[in-house]
Amino acid sequence: MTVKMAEMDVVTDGRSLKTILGSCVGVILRDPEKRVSGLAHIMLPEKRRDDEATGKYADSAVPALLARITSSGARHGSLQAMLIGGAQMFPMGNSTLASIGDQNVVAARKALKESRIPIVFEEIGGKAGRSVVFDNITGQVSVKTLQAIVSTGARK
Amino acid sequence: MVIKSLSRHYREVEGLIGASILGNGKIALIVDVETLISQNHHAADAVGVKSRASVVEAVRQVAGPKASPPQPAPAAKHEAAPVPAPVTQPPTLVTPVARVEAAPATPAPIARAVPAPAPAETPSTSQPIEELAKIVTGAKGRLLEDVNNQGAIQASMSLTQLTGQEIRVSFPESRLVAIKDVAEIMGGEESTVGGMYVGVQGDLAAGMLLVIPEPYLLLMDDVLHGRPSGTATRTAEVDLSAVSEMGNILASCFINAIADASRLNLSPEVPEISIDMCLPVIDSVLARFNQPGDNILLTQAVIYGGGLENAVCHQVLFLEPDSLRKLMDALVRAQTQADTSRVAG
Repeated sequence: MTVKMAEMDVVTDGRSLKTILGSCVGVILRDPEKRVSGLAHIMLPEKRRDDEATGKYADSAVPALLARITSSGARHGSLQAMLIGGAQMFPMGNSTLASIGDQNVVAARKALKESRIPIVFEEIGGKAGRSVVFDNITGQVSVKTLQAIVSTGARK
Repeated sequence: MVIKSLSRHYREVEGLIGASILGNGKIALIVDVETLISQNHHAADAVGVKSRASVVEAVRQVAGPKASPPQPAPAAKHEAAPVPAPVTQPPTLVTPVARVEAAPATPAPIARAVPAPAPAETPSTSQPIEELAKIVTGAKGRLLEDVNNQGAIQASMSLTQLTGQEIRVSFPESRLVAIKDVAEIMGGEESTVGGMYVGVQGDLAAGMLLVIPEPYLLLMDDVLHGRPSGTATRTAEVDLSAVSEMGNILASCFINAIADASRLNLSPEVPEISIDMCLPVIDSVLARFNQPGDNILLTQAVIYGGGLENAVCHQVLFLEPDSLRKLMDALVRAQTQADTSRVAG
């Protein structure tokens, strides 16, 4: 199941969650006991007051994903988080473009902390986009760039 | 068929009064038959009334051969003029026009050393984004469209001259698109592309993003290094300065067109390049020009050519909402002034 920009999804079965990230940040939440996982594809750190699009912003997307995953059977207390993305795609650039990735990472960490969800895996920063596949059954995440598999991580 | 006026460089060429783009993406120059006839009345007298085909032939000569290698400068056009041309109507202000397919192989005023390139224009997203979409697609939006089209014509000509391959830039189209679909529109979230971003400084907050699919990236690399097409096979080895060159020209054409028409002060920043999957290349730019809602106003031109079926690049212009309004106002003002002086002259 592919999660597109500014969207989120939750799986409770054998499907994988997939997404592709540049300066965007992917937040994966998982309850390893219930095998319920969710992924939010976040574009920007802070919600604009005039924007209804909750999934776009770290500070609104994390609580929204938490609400969805718990309503799908996950227990808040068992949740673990993975944080992926936040690259600088145009690194030389003027500050606005170059710093979006970092700001997204900082905002996502903050939102997870406020929701009291521990981060068990991070693959962030750098200058390359990432293709992410998360397996709900095994809890394993695979992160690839154009050049190579960067890292894999798993938590039970 | 929408008829566009020519930029000032081409306006000086007698006999050409406009341009349009055909269904297949080719640019068609629109010829003022009366002018051609009056310029060449000697020849015309001698030959008498001819078929429309001869007009087409005349225009071919004026506009340059099809699928030709880079052509010389535009000035050359004046000489090349005219084979007679027909048409029996008396000269009137409202002239019949003949349309001719001309490869954009013509002259290009813009080339490597572009003096003061200017920015790209275009709208991106908005308040109630629908409101901006209305501005861009409404009556005032025609002005923006005209400017964009000037940019497209110049860009076609410049790239064709630079590369020696027929390259066409379509007239940009503005429409509302769901953010989640943008990467798919450009060929797929995971496809390898070269992305180039040129920010604009000056009176507008804007930026231009060029998304170049891998096959085109390789082709541009070959062409710009004078190698036969197909030589470059690995994206990792692509010379980024070559891509940069192409992007610079494109950005300059559009930015110049906007600055000319609006009389705003605009200048492009240094291009930045990233070769990566499509979605990562575009996401930070989408974030930079973010506006409320799930849609963005995408003003997009498509670049065809180089003999590759799949060589279609996407050029997207972003403009902050305030800048879009400012640009529209400036265009209206400049247009009014131009109309006034035209009447006076």
